[in-house]
Amino acid sequence: MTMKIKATDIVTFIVIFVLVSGLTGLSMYREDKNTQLPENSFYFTSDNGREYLFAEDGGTFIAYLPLSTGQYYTMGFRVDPRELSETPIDLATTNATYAAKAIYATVNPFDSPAKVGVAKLQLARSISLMNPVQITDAYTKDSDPIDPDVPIKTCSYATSETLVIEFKIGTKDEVYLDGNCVIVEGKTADSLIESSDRLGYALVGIY
Amino acid sequence: MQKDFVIKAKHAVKRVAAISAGATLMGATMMGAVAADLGDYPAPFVSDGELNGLVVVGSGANAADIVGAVDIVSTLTQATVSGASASTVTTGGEDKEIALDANLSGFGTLDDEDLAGLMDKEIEWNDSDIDVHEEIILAGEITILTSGESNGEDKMGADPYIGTTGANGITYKYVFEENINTANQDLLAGVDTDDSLTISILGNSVEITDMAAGAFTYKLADEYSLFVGESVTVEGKTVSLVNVAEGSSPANVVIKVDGEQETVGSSSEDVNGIDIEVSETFYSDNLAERFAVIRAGSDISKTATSGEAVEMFGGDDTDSKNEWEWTIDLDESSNSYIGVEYDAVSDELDDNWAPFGIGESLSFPNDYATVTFDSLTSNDYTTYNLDFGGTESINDTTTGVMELTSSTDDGIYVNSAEEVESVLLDIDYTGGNYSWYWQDDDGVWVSLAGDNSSDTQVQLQYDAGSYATISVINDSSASGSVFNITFDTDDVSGVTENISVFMQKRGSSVGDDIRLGDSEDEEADEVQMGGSNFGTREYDVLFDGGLIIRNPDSNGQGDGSVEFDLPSEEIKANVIVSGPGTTTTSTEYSSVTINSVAGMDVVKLDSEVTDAAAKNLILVGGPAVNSLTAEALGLSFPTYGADSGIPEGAALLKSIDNAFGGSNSALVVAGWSADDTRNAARYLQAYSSNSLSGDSMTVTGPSTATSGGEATAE
Repeated sequence: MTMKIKATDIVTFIVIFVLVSGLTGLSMYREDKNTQLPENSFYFTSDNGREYLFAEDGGTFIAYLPLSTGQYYTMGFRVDPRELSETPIDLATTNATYAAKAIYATVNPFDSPAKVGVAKLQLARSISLMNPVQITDAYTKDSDPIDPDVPIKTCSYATSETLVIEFKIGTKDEVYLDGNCVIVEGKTADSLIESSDRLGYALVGIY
Repeated sequence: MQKDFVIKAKHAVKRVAAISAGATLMGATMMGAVAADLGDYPAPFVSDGELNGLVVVGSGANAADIVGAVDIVSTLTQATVSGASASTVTTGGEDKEIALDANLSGFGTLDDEDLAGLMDKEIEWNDSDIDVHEEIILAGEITILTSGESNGEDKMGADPYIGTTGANGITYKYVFEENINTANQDLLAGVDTDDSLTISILGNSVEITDMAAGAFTYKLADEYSLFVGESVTVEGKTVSLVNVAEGSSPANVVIKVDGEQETVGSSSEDVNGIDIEVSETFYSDNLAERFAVIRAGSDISKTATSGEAVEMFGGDDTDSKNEWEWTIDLDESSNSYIGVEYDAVSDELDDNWAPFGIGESLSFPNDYATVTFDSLTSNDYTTYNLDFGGTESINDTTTGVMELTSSTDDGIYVNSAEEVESVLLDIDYTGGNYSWYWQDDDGVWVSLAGDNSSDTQVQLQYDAGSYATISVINDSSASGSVFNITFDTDDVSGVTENISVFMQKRGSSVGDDIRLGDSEDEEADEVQMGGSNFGTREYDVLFDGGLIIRNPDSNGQGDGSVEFDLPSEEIKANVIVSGPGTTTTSTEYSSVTINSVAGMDVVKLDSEVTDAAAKNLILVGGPAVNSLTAEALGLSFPTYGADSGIPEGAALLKSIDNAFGGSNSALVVAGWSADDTRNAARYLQAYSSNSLSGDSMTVTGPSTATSGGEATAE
């Protein structure tokens, strides 16, 4: 008995071959692409539509900020960018920060545990990246004993050119403007760090 | 659909690229340094442009202990970048680079797909569903204005502006896409006070009570809900509800305006200068429960007519005092519209509505949409100066010359072989000949006999490898001493004309001056651009492409000089059109300019550091407040006062190799008091100007320190 190969069989074979080859190729491509990513990495899409690569390293979330050179500027944050939406932010705070010709970072000297300092220092990195003006530490009121070297700056001192950023433990977790003053507020010292990272992220375009 | 775009800061890219090379070299130096020497700071925390370290503060520290650490963090961060890195990211707007001789019509008609916040939806009108949308139209009448072109004025100088050369440069339209005026669907005729149409015009909710082909009437007065006995202030007068009549709503009410009382119904009444109209009423046997909804204002309604001033947003009712005008056409078979257009000519800086410059905007009423002159695409120029009246000793012969100089040391390209900063031109008084001179690297004068058939003997190198040729021609119509020198500035992209300057040798002696023009006073025709005279312009003159001639009148006095700035590339205007939902909020990295590649620092508390040996650490705060400081110094935690080893009234900067058993370093910034820690931080912050050296320093003030120090348990 002779076996005849029909034209439809050939077409079926070609279709299956192409499909299998394609799927294999796609699998290899994905594998290859993934091997180029940092460990524990993920992509986060900012509200501005841009996609950013992140890697988690021991509780630090490293943002890969793409440069015009094709390289990345890596910057560590304490807060997972996927949790950013939990902290409201007025994006006008970023414009105020970019435009400032002098910046005071002010805290209540009687209500500022070390984590408030961490919040302030975290934000100082993003600010310094975007606006190379001097950031001056300040208090919202006199300390005890009074420290003449630390200026007293409250929101009332803020102008369009002189930015006051007040870090405060209050009733909400939010970053907002009060006139020309940026308020970074958290219900607790830990959530204040989250609010500070919220603004820090926004300053580099991730929000 | 929103649209993202990025304005690239090209000049920033260039600047940073230049600095980047320097930073790379600096980083290489740091990499090779020994980590323990404070003189190498910010290495090892910043090396090769990377920030590799943690800043650690004590979990028991208070605000005062941490004051100063900001200085360290911000300085380290800035050490990883160079130059400004900002670019504007506008979400939901539209941008274009506009040539300086062009208008803005290229934006065309913009709708919700171009400008966030513009509306595109369906409205219900008399039980009919009508598609509507908003659009912003930019036409040829809105344009770039420059002082060197016919549409600009002298006073604009070197600054470009955006203005209008006629009406209708920019128009807003609320468009009814379907026919609203057909026989079987005459929606226009159906609009009245009982069946009003409420739409949003330029973001303002408007209740329309009458419509015609070229006009509509809208409610103007605000609406107030008042219980009997309540008052509201309208136009500075107190309007009180006294009583409400029984009957179907809206019934009559009794209103008192600043003491004058009248009964008012659903037709408006003037009560003591305030128009009152009743919209709704509620009657109750209990007087205090009766209330009414009234409209009250100087006018209850207003009619907007095509071609007349837009009063809706507080503008004047006189056309000549209001730059915005209604444009209304509700009689089309499709796309009928209610619009607002810019009705002013804004082409002079003294105009009531003057042109706007860089960083400024033109906004529609209610700031609903905006045209912004954001920036220029480049500010990279080479300045050239022609200086007349001077003499130079050339090979021991005093020679009257015109000197052409460049702001860059390679801005002039001579004899197709050499780049120089300046050249001299010497004119033969009687022979109609001329010569070029320049000095070589050894200071030896090189001469080149002028050849008026060649325009490449001397050229302007306005960008690397890009040249504008120069022609020198004896003006045969004058005496033999008059020459024209023409710079072919149209060789620069976007520049459309050439600069011509004429000059005269004043005497037959070699040492006699060459002067600009042929008289002591400045003359209009001694400096020309494209054949037009600019010699007596009293301001800088900006031309297409970005070329600038600096104050010809002032420079032309006496023997005179001519100065002009030649761009390295065509300079254009970055123009943004934004809508009500546009945000210009963030600076974006993806298109620019950080030269280094890492700033992976995170600030941590000492209690959060699980492996102190894993990274280089900057430990802020003494062994009383920072446990890692104590450990690095070999002290128990907490250690106070003299036991800390820190000198009283001072602070310690101490670099410790292998501080926690690994290969990394720790830098201790610790003071006797918080004040002293802050001094150390500030001393460290100013590392580039302060003298840091050795592995330990005692800091006694923000800028005072000596090498050596203790604070160890040794």
